[in-house]
Amino acid sequence: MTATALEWRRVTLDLGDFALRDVSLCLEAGEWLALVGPTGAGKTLLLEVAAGFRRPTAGTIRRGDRDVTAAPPEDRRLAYVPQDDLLFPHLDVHANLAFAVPRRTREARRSDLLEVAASLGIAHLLHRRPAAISGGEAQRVAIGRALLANPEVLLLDESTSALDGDTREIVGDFLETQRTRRSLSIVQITHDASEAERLADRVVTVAEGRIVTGSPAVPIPLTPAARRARAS
Amino acid sequence: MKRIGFRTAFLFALVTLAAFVALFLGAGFLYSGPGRVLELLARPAARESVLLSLGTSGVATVLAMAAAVPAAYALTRWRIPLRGAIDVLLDLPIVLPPLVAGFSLLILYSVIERALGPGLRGGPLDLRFTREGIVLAQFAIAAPLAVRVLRASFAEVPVRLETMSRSLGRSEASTFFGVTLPLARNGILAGTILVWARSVAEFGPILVFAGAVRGKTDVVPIAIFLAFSNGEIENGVALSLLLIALGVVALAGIRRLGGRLVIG
Repeated sequence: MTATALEWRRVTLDLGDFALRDVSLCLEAGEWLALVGPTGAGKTLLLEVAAGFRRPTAGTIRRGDRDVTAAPPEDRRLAYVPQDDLLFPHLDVHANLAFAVPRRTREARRSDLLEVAASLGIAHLLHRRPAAISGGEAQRVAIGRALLANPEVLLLDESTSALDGDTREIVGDFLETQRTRRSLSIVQITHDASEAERLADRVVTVAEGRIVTGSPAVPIPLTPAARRARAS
Repeated sequence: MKRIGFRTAFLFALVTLAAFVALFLGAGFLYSGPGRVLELLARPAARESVLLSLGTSGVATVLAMAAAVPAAYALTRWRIPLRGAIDVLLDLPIVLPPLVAGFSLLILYSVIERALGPGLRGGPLDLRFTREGIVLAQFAIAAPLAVRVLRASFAEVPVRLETMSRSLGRSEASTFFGVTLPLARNGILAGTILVWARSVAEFGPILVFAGAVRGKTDVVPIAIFLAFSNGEIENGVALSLLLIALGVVALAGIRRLGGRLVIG
């Protein structure tokens, strides 16, 4: 039986004008799950509830066997890369990347940081402030910062939307290698169907605050990436 | 034409008001002349008043900021019981006549004395009519003002950045020192200047609680009061101009830090 990395169990989040309604969804350990659906469907809210940015009105968030619904964000071992990057404006790119690395291990993990920066093509930006880099560069810094936090689950909210096609592919491939290397499970919101097909094991469609395909009740076919993985 | 008339009327109001303020604040120079003002400020009594003001207001500002930073953050970020009531309570000393604050401090001491007996009188904790009492009187107004100013500074730091910090594994305390404080830095510095300037200018509560004793509790505003009371107009004018100059410096500092005044 596969272990569960993250689970939304009957989660409701009522915001008045909009609500996530009774959403149940499981992310298996090591899985790459793509969330697709129209703008305003509630995909971002799902990630924010999981990351502790919002508290659900009802239902629970589980990490493995643990109920983390009321746990502070620092106790979830989830790294969230939001659409607006949320880089710390008072810190340069290097300090942003090192932010999640405990001070006592910074020296030991220096090569890891430099490798992540090089792989994401941001090594030349290390001494710049976020205000002095482009949107696409900021997205890559945010992804690098999240990876360096050593999370068990990585939540990506349209985190490659500002990248050109080639760079997006490079970042996608890099994340794929990191998934194995760091034993990551990934949830990715994307509007790029080909990206979802290429990278994700499973694609779940969200609409009007509900899971419309890919829920346990409505299974969906495996993506080509998942089929390839099973065949090998 | 209509537009020109509208703008002319508004600009007239602005220029008239600015001229009025410049005139009444600068009248001292017209009265004494800069040379005489400097001469009067160089006298030992004036120098001592200035040093006493700088010392007491400096201590009061440090104490006020030390108390206001955590208090303002808690009020801004956390859902705490009676938050609205605490908010109003802390705003009260800012909007009440300053004399009332000084009078209330005196009454507080009387109540404590009534409860504990006369042992308090003259002891180290009896700050009435002492230099330490000046600090307490300044603190009584400065601390609530600092809370008000810092609340605005903390409110401008996006909560999402704090949550992101914690999502990256930092604790609440580490997030406060690593994200919130640096991002609120300019507001805090501007607030510190404002609180210090207000403490230097404080008069009412000091007069009532610490008294107006020449050579002992005569901070600059008290010295101005004593000078005018004794007919030493030029001394009063010189000290007034010093306070105005300090105000200009403080406001320039606040502007440079991009801060805004949030009073009352």
